Amino acid sequence: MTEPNGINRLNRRDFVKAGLVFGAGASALAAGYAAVPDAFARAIYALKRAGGRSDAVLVMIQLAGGNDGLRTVIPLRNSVLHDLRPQLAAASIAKALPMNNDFGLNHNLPRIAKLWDRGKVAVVEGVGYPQPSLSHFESIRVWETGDPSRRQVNGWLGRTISRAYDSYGHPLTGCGCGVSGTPGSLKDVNSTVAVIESQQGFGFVDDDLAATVGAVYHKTPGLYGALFDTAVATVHQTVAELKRVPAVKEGDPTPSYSKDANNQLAAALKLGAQLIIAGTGVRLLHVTLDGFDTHQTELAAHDTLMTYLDEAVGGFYDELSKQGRASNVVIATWSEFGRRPEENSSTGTDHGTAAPLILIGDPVAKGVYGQTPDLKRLDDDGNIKYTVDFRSVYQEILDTHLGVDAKEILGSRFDRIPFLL
Amino acid sequence: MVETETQKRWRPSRRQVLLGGIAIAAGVGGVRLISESEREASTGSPSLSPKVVGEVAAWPRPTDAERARIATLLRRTTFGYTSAELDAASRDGFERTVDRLIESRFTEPLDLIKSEDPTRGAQLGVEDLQRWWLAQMLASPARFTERMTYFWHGHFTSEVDKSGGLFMYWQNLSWRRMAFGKLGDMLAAVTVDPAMLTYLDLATSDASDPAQLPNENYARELLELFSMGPGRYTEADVKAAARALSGWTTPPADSQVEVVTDKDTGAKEMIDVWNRQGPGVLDASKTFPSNVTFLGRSGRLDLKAIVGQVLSHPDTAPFIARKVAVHFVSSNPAPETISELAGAYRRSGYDTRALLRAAFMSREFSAPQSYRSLVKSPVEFMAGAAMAVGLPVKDSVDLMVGYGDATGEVLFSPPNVAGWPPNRGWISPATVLARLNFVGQLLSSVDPLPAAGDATNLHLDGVLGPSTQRRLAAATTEKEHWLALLASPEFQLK
Repeated sequence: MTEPNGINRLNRRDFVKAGLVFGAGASALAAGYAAVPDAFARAIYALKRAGGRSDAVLVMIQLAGGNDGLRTVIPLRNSVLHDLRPQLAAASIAKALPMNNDFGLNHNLPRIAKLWDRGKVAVVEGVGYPQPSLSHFESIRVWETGDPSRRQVNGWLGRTISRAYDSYGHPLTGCGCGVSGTPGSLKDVNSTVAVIESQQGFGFVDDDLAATVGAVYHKTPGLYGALFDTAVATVHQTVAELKRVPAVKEGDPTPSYSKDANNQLAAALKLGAQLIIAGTGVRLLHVTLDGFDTHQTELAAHDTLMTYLDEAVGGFYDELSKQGRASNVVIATWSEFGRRPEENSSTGTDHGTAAPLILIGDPVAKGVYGQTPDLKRLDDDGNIKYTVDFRSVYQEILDTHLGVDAKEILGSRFDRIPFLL
Repeated sequence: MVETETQKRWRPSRRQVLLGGIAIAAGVGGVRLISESEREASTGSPSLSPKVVGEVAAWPRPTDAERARIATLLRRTTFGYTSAELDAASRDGFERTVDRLIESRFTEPLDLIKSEDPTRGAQLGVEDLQRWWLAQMLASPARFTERMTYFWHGHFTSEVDKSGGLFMYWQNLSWRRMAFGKLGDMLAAVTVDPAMLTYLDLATSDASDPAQLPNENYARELLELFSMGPGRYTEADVKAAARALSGWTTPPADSQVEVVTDKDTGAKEMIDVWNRQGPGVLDASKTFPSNVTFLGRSGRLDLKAIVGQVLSHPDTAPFIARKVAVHFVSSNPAPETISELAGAYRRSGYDTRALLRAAFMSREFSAPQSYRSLVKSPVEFMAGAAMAVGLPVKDSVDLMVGYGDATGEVLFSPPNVAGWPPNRGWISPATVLARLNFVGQLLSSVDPLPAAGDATNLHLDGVLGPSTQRRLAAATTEKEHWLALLASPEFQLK
């Protein structure tokens, strides 16, 4: 197993510093994301209560499937856009909510537009990476690991947890909300991460089961032993933590921020807000809105998704703000790629490359950063050439918001984009 | 290194000592994960001796290694088995059991839409489909056929919300009929499968105007996910296949029937009705009017030519062979295993039976490192548990449908076009909790529970980790016994 950027060596050194001989190293890495055994973990996590804004919270929103950046942050004065996508561009541009002379937000994002007016939104244009893959799964992996060379196996947020947070016994430090699988960005051999699909369903159906499971998932042998044991320990700890969180009231007609029950992002962010407000120690949240792979009849599908995003983010921000908890929360969108500027014969768009990212929150410095995409100079596949490495965005979040040395997580330094106050 | 808690606390039971079923080696410190590279390096080792790989405690060696090998085969090729079935397979021996499984006869499932109501097909919902198929999995005598249908359901995957219930039903019937078919036939069938034509948009692509971009969605996944893997082709190949395949669209409906869609308002809607299952049709007005160059071959390439080019690509056999190995042999199969399987597959003209036979007969399948190296999918886990305690099929189906979402596996509704990620992909705090809760609910649904008796040997080959061993020894009721067994990590693996 290669150690592309020194991160894992650093982990190893920490273990050695702690007076431990930790044999796992590369093998644990290869195994994916299981946790270290208790004794090691306790000692090592005690070491790192590194600086940063101790209560800073990051919410990553994955727009899964490849979000059409040109229909999200819309270039208002680009005649080439009309030529490339006659059916998709016209309506979008006419209805866009102007941000400045050059850009407008998709008309289904009125609440985010209001936050822009209030100075709480930044957009980074042209974000991508070298030699982009047009495969969903390869590109997702690049974004999740923060490694375009595709050697790193741990997620960038998982590495952040294992470097800088004490997640042992605090499983909600990193949490996937509204999903059943562990988000790839949060995976790391040395971090404990919670996954909560819904608060209601998170608990054991009976006490005998809880007791049996507590006794049985201990020192499990074999390839998956540590992975299973960690999952079960995390469940027990999470169940205990969730006792602090008030349950959504019985008969509450709007348990999430959207009246549309299909808006699962709204439900996930509602859960995230409850975790933050209840003081569960949640730091790095990951939520997903799926359905952005709009190869055909994009207009209607993308409109709905933009509405979902707007309702969920608007509701989340407002609730935190009302509770006085918004000042240290940054929301960031990401997607595996943007879509091709030229529309296809199904009134949709195929897989693209660079796209804008949106950052929202009180710590955000309003502005459009990066370089406007040049639609006249597309690459050989007809896609946008990236102008900002996505790791520049990660770097700013790590350095400025979370107070974690980004070079230790990402392996190198990237151009700084000062979108945070 | 100090002695771990495991060694301090765990003392083998007298029975186990007598049976010689111990392999938590003394003097091993710490616990660590087995590295993939170590596993690869040691794969194929002829040694069946008790072994601790690196510092991770390996599973103890089964007392009856041959019976455990056959039980492993059944766990990987069925959705559950009885004591009688394991006995019969043991009498036959491993190789004959492999033959029997692979030659397992095809049984057409119950007709789901046989009904006086012509709109029944159009109104099939995801739960109708799930109930129908789960009952089939639990009750069909052709267990491995169902298991292979399930494999292809995750490989050539489509999604009910987009494709609709009827087309998903048809697709399921097709994969069952082709469960042991040839890859070339399957690639041709999947391209014109109505559910796939809808799911990956080929039905909407129009390449008649060379100046306009065709829809690439299906063409890309045909190469990346269905046949050869990412990075084995160029973007130009994707575009060429997208153009060459444009024009294939869903079959026209036989008639339209007006139905009341809202009883309260009396609102009506015209619903398409198909009298029988059929493949997609070619709409000549949407085909590409000139030559393309695809994977090195130029010309007016049709579906047959595209499939032919895919089959002649050197990465196709290893890609499918690896996927089969990851599902049936080991989570990280050795390169030699892949090339052996791929060779058998290619030599047989991409025959699924040849590939499966090579997988089960491979050295790696029977290597000690492959024991419990796969994680049961939620459906496998739940079906196996429900069968073990004898819950009637209908009740099992009800319970399983209820746990699909929480366990991370909603049949007919994959997370994305890559299907469900196997093995480690099934394990997260949320999904493990759901599996365990399923067991809790299952055991309160069966009264009285059958005697647990020999269940540890039948389902777990008598091979237990120290904690499960302790808990089972302490169990005083049937329920406690079943709980410790079915909720154990051992039962999650195959």
